[in-house]
Amino acid sequence: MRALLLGSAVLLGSFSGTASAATAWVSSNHIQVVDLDTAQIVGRIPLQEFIHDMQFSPDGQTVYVASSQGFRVASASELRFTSKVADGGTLAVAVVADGSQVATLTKAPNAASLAARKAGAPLPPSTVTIYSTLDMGIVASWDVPGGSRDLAISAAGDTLFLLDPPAGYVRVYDAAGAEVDSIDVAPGERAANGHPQALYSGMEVSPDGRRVMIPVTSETASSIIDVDLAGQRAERVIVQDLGHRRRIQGLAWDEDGSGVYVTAVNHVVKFSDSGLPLAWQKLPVNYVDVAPVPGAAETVMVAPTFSSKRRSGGVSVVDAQGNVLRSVELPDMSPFHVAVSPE
Amino acid sequence: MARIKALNVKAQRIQEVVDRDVRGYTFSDCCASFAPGWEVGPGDNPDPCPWKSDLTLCWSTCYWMGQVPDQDSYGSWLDSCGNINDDWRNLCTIPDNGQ
Repeated sequence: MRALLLGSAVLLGSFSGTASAATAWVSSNHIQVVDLDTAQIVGRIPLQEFIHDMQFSPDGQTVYVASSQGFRVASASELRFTSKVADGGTLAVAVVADGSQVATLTKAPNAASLAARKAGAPLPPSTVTIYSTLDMGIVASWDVPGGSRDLAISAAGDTLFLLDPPAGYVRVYDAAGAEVDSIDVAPGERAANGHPQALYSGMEVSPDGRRVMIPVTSETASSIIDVDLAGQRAERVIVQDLGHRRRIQGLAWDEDGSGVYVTAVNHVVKFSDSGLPLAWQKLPVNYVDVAPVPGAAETVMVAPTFSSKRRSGGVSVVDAQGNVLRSVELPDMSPFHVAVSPE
Repeated sequence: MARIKALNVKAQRIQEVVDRDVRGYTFSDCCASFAPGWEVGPGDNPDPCPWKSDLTLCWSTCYWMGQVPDQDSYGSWLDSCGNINDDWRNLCTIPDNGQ
């Protein structure tokens, strides 16, 4: 009966209610909220814009949403958008540890990018913007290389890391936008045009801010680029071979910083802090994003295609051994991203 | 593999063949390389990598612009897709009008 009522709520559109303590927000062109204890849908937030990234505020009350048409703020308790902060295709969002600031990466307008493509010119610059979460006012904003795909911000909010796949670099900026460092993260030899011959899936900074992990897939190997930000190693950049050639898709640091979870085609692995990939676990479907569940040795994973026959997507809670504990099938969604509420 | 040497002309030709850009794949775990839409399951098994999923993944990360619009130029291409398994039919085609 509960499932029936929840299903009706989903069909009716926006669901007004209170999310439980442990929820996962999953997205395609809208958001659905999953109670992780019961594996039930408890809310739906319509949008009609493809969502690239979602991040919770540290207190779990707010969710910052980067979509194809803008940057929005949502209330985690009311399960609705409360404001649209900025227009423009927003590819990534990052929140500082104390929640006082949030940074976004916005690409150039479609028309400008298309004109550059046709002219064979470099993509027009993207923009990084830092907002104060008090009033969502702009603290700083500056141009960054076009084609940049992901960003992260240090716990103190004084350093920003930008993944620049066309160049194969992680660019490091101070809070005012000055580029203070650039780190070569091309996994092998570059092509004749200088581009790295690899596909970058994203970038994740460790909870202590000392390392950044970047999964890459090339034609010959799947690897993690392990970057030491704290100057504790002789080698700043180490390319860690993941042991097979599956395409890397999801990446998330474990809550305690003991390693990163990586999802590849029909598989998951936890890559340990010591640089050793643990055993790959085979999974029944292809999970494309992963996030740890705070306070539990579990992760949440999303699959755009959970059942080919029923043309549904799905969300699963998976234990540390790669066993699927609970799943919920989404008949009207193919989720590509997941964000889990803080403890 | 490096220890195996071609002993005749035919073997040398095979060794010299350069992989083409577009080719089909049949691997047990599929998607060994990024050639979206070309992966098929081994034998009669269902395709473990439905090509509908690749539409989104390649729009956002791949280089495969010949088949899938890139998110830089067509940022709203997937805005109408809540469930790509059904809604891919609604995706518009990007016309090549030579402009």
